Amino acid sequence: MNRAVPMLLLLACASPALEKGGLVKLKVEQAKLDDAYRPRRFALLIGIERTEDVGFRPLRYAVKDARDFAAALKDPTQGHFDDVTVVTSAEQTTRAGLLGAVAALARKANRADDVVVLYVSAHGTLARDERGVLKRYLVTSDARIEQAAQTALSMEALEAGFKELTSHRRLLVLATCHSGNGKSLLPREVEAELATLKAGFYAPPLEEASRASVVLSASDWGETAREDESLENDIYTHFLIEALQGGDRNLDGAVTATEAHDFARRRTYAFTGGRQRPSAEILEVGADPIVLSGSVRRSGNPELFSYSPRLDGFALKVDGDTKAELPGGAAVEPGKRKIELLKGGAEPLFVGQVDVEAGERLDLESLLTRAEPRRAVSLTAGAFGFADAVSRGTLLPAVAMVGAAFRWERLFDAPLALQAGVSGSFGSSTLLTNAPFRYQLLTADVGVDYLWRRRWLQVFGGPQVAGLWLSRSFSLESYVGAQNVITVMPGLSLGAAVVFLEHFEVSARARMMLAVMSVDGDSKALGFFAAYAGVGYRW
Amino acid sequence: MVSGRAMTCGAVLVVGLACGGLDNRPLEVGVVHGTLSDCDADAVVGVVGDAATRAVADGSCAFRLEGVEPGVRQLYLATTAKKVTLVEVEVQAAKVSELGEVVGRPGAFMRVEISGDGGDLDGTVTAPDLPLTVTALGRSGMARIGPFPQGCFKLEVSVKRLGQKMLDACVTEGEEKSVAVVF
Repeated sequence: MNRAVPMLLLLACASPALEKGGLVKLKVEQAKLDDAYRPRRFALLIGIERTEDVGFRPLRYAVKDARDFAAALKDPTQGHFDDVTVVTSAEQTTRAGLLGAVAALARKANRADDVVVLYVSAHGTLARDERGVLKRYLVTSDARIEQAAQTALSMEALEAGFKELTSHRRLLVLATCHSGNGKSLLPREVEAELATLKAGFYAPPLEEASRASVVLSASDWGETAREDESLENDIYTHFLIEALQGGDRNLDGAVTATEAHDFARRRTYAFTGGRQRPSAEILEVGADPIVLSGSVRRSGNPELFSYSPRLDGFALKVDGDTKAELPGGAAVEPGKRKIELLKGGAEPLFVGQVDVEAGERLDLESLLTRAEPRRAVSLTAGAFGFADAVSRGTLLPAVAMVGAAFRWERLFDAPLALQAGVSGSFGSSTLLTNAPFRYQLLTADVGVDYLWRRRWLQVFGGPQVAGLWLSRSFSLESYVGAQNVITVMPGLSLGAAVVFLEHFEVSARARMMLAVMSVDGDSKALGFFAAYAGVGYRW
Repeated sequence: MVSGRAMTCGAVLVVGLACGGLDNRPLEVGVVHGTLSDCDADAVVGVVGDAATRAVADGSCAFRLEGVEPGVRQLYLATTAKKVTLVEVEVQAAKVSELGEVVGRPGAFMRVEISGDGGDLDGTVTAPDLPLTVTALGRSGMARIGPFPQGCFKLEVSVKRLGQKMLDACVTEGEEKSVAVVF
């Protein structure tokens, strides 16, 4: 409907009778039209070996890294990138030069579906900015080690340029490090400061994954990125280039950024004996990965992956076989697969059947939230009464209760649960053999449970506090009147739940509480019990 | 608008105590109901042995004696200033025992006379087991107390200057009996 109005206006303008403006028919071949709208592929590769400041030891392979990677990306049989720019000269790799190159890249790659790769192989360093905050810098050709903050290119600025790219398929590869070793050199005062630290690093990583972006680092934060003489490349870059030919994990014909990173990460880890662990920060939009090499020719095998720090160090088992160490991923055959996430000999974090289809990319972290409902609401029925027989005989007999209970598990990702509930009862009974009365009872409770889980069984317990309103009304020959009491009851509870059909549970809970109330004109401390069972829904 | 009572209750709850309460005392005692055949302003009904449990008759000579301990109880019923009777009744907790109409009989009176040392004999005399009002002794140490039904009763005599004495005295219906008390 909204489109119809401008179309009618256009048709009106196009009418020959008006002779003002008009529509011109164009014949455009479909192939050309498709080509015009085909996502374009851009790459900017930066290699900086030497700086004006001789304090920085020259790198041997940074320029070669950039050129080798560029060649692989440009190769029609591999990356088939449309526009590959290599920036390596001293003039091009100044701070201003690099910012200009990134800006030029942003001007060219101005469509959301463009694929953009920004690669940097250079020295890194750390320096304090004007506010005294320790930050990371890329050592440009005009950088001076003792004035790094003023002369080098801050990673923040580089990242800001990366984020400003219009593309939703963008990849930043950092073949650099900032630890002071390998491809890094630090100012003396920063080096002295870091030497006093016991922790590897204290500053947070700068690369924050933004929407639809991937940041690959040749080394983890605080680790050394290395060049190797036998490989004649930065080690990670060498294997990343190799990945463009051999990294098609799911056999769909294309090598994505995550596939390439996993390929390079494993080999870098093995090559350096575990001293260099390339890291990745990835956020994908839907199933739209960044294809670095080849093209998707068929639905690939389903991929299971995770780069979440939460799953760091976990092993991925599929149908009983260990497929990958996380962060990372693996391709599996389509169909129903038994997936386990476990670390060491501990209880698996996740065990479950997942039906995966060809071409599907499944973030394993999503299983944790998808398959483990954290909240449960139950309808409950049970009994409530005074703990001692005398009070049950003289004040109120144990009564049946119905209510609802709510539980929110794993608060703060800890084995804790928040529980709350309300229950009530009303009816009539008899006290002291011949004193019939009517009663109304309402309780509301809230508490925190420690939660112990073993697959389908949960056991929980902890402190709680409950409010009680009890009303008794008598209509006797000798006495007519109503008595009300409202009190607060601290206590403890213990319960268990059995989960079935994934989203349902049966649960039971027992409580013991203590309250102070006026009985026959005197204040007394009285115990209460409550026990109930329920059926609930989990989500 | 929050009432002061509600605010107090809220404050009490905050510190973990309670508002209101449960009271079984009204459930553990019974009520005796009846009518006096004739009555005047001095009509009074009570439980023998429990002088605090007493009631007065209303304008139609009906009475409702509340808070009577369960069991077989002996009631003292003074229908007028001069007529009285004792009635046994079985009282049940939380129940009303109906006595029906009660007719008073001529009551007995005791004239209490204190024998002392000639000084001030101001004090009181009472029958502690009966719902009789406390009678004042004059400075001369004399008082008339009643009406008593036929039977034996305790008298408690208290003279401010000399102290207290308990004694038993028995009367017959309509008797005027002198009781000498020596300190």
